[in-house]
Amino acid sequence: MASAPPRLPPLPGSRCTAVSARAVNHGGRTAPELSGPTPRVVVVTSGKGGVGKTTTTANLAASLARLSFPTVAVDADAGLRNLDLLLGLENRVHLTAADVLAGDCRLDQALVRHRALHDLHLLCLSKPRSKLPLAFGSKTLTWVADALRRTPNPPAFILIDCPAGVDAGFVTAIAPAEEAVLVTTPDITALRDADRVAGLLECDGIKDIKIIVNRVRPDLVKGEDMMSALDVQEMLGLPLLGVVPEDAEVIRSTNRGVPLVLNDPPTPAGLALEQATWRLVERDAMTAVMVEEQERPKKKGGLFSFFSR
Amino acid sequence: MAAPVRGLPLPPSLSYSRTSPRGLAPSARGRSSRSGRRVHGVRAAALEAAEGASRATEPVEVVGVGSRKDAVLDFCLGSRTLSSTPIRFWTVNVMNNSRVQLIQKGHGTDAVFRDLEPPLYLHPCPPAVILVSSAGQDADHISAMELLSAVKSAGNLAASIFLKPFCFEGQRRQVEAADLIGKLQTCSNFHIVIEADSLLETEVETLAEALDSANNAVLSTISMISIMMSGYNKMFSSSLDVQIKEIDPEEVAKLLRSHGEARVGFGAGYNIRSAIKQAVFHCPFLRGGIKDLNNVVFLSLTTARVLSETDMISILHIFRRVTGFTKDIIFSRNSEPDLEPKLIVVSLLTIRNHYDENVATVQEGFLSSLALHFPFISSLKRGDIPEQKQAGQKHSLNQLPDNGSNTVEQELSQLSNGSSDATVSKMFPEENEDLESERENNDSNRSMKPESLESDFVVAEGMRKGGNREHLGSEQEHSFLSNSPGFRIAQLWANERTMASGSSKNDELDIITLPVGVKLSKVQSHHSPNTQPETTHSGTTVVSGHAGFGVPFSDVRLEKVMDMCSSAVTFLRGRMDRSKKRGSSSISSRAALMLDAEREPEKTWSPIVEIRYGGGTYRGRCQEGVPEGKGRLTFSDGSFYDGLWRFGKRSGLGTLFYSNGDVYHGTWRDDLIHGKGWYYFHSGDRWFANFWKGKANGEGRFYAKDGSIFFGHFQNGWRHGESLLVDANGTRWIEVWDEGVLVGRAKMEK
Repeated sequence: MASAPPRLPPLPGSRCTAVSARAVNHGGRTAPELSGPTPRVVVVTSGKGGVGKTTTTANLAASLARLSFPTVAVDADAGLRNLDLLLGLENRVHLTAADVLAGDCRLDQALVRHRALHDLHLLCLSKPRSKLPLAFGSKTLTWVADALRRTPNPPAFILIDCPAGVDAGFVTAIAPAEEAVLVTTPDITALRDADRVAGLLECDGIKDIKIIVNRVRPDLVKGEDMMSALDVQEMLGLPLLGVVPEDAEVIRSTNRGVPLVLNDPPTPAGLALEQATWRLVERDAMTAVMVEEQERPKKKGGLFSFFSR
Repeated sequence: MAAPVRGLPLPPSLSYSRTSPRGLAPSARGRSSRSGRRVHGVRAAALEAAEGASRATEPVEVVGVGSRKDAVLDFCLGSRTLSSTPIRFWTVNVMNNSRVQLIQKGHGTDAVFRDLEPPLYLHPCPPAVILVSSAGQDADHISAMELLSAVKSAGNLAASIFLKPFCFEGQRRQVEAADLIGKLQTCSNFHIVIEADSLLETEVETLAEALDSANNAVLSTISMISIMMSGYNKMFSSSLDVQIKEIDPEEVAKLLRSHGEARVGFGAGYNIRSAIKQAVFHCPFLRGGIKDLNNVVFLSLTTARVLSETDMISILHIFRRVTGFTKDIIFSRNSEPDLEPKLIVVSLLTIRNHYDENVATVQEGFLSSLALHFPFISSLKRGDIPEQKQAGQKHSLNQLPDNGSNTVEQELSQLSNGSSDATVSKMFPEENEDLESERENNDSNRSMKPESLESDFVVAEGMRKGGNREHLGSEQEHSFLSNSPGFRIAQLWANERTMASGSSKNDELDIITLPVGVKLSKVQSHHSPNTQPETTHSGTTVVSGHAGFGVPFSDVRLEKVMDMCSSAVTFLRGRMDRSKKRGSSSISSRAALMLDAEREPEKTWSPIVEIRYGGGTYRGRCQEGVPEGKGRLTFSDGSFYDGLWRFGKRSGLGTLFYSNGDVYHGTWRDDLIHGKGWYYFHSGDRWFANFWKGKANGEGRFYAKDGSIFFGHFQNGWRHGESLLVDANGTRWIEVWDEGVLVGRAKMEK
């Protein structure tokens, strides 16, 4: 979003150099070019649970915010929300979208702003133990998204963290979305669910579906004990947004409540997610061949920095 | 003599039923536990031999060097054909202080070491040293060659067997091998090169089999030399005119020494003829027959029982007859009780003195002589020989003697002729078509004609043609086919087929003549009304609408084969593309299968193919080589059927467009009109009827162009029973028909 007010990145200088160093990977550009009209409503979904939907959402959102794109991360998982934990905002969620829709507060009051990333806002759909059922049905998030569009400073991205499964929560979550990020792991179980979800998304009219293959273990792939990202992508027949290697740092960052992409030095998974963010912004896709050529040295570099710590 | 050896604890009968040449020796590992005794046994035999025969004092020494020595020597040790002769196997080990150690290879662990001090020399000098070498391990080679030249200078037999590396082992290996061959030739007086590559080109399928076969070649060479040198078994020399006479090993050794390069052939069979044929014609190392050899051939026969002298004479006779060999044969027989009772193992060494003639000159001479007979050979010679020389000369070597046996040697047995013919055609599919036709003429000149062979050719050709039709344009196809063997035959066959289909074109489609269901007066006059309508001539008015496939049965079968082949090709092509993309990992294939099962069961269409079918051209979807689903069959006369197919038959809704302009549109079953359907005649008349198995049955109506309408019943295609006719002016008539004959007609009153 070109009109977004340029803010200083709320990061120490060392991180700035890391960003600029990474920017070399993008052909000398320091920021991705935003493609398409804003706000872009992106749903992050997977079907199967535990493949890293919420992690991906948190990191994409953090990464977008650091790229100075105003972003609202919506936790659409009404019953079992976790996005606030990943962003480290769990203590600050007092009002939710349910309160807004009930008329108890304004929308901007329900948006929780991240302390470090000023462009990042979190919106939870409801409180975990709220007795109120979501009486407004599958239109809930459509209204929320419309409301966000009508705010004086509309965000560039609305990321919706979709609950697992394909029932009511899922339908609610994907309703406002125009594009989808389908997170899957190279497991046969996740693959089946992803395939099913992709079909449902297409039925819902979401044509722009890209996949992130998460938790890839190159050692297993090499030993043919795991499908490669190429296999997954070809089987699903969808464009690839990113390939994220399995990384122990993910758990650490989750437990600390700091998104992975903010880690310094960067971790392999964080780098992969950051690249995925660039592609998301530019509506780009990585080709399967690039997976083999590009990811490997990057992972190696990441590992080196990991060991040299 | 070899009695103690026979007392070895060998298992009396291992599974030993293969007749191929690589079946000579079982695996080496099977008996290693009893090996210690065996080595002693061999030594005991050697000692006994020394006492008894007094000629062979020392065993034959076999020294292995190179990268494959262990495999080869193990193989030899494990075989049973060597048990009757004293052979010791050694490997060379060069110590770091340039001392050379010979290590005896035997079964078990009781290795015997023998240090050699430079200058390398064995004390006492053995009568024969065989160096089994292969590429690799240079230091060993140098010392082994020194050893060999020492033996040679001592005047004893220094034989070397070189296992050439495979072509895929790389250029460096080849260069190394060529270098080694040259060196070995100088330092030995008897030299055999075993071409591993020729193995891969022949019937051997796997590398393991090829190696086995190469090992067998080494083994049979070693055993022959050892047999000849040991002097256990009497050696006989036989020439064409003189009777067989015994010769002693010194003479044999002298003969062996005097010749440079040799080839080995071996074979096994359950009768002597097949064994000889295996050894001479099918052994990959011999490269073609031995008929054109000018030199002596060493022949060794191993059987379970002892052969008598008369047996020998007859065997020699058979050998000469089968191979067409006319020069001297040195012959030895030995019996091997461990061998399977009926099996005969033939091994032979053909000596080619490389000083005065080499392989190429033999070919040239032979070709020139052929060229005198057949002018076309000269062109063949001009074009092909230089390339073939570069390509290792295998090509012409293999084909020419066979050809010779076809053309020159009339007294050859029928069977061997046929088989050699077959091998030639199998091996050289790119052969000139001139040659093909020439051979054909040749065949027709002779009384015996390999019928079955030719028919095989036709089938193969047809299949190839079918397989290539889809992706080659007709022009390309033509040029492709004209280069392939049997093109003329295929062409002839195609012509014949078109002629056949042309002649049967008339009864292919029965044009329905108007008016439908009415017997013409001519027919009525010829047939009594009582005759069944079905028996009337098909060319007249029988309403069958059945475009029968007027193709003879054999052609149908052939086309089935073709069709299946073409559909298989398309199927495989699709498959291969898909599998290439998917990768070979089993996990991804499982995942892919899971997803395929999970996804919506989309109707997967088989690809649209164009095939010859039923005397016409079919374009549409096929399954298992026959039309299935939607497709169009165009007959040779221009009429075509467009519609649904099932199991290669018209079935379901379909339209038949006759070449005269008539159209039938309706349902079909089992290639016949069946069910309701409309006939639109080119004259403008229309006819709707119910059909049953190709004939109109039941109600029907006929709308004539002039406006009259006939409502009535049909039976077996004839108008039958009471019916109503409304003529052009609206007058109604009640008509009564009886099987196409109008019986009564009355104007209907209002």
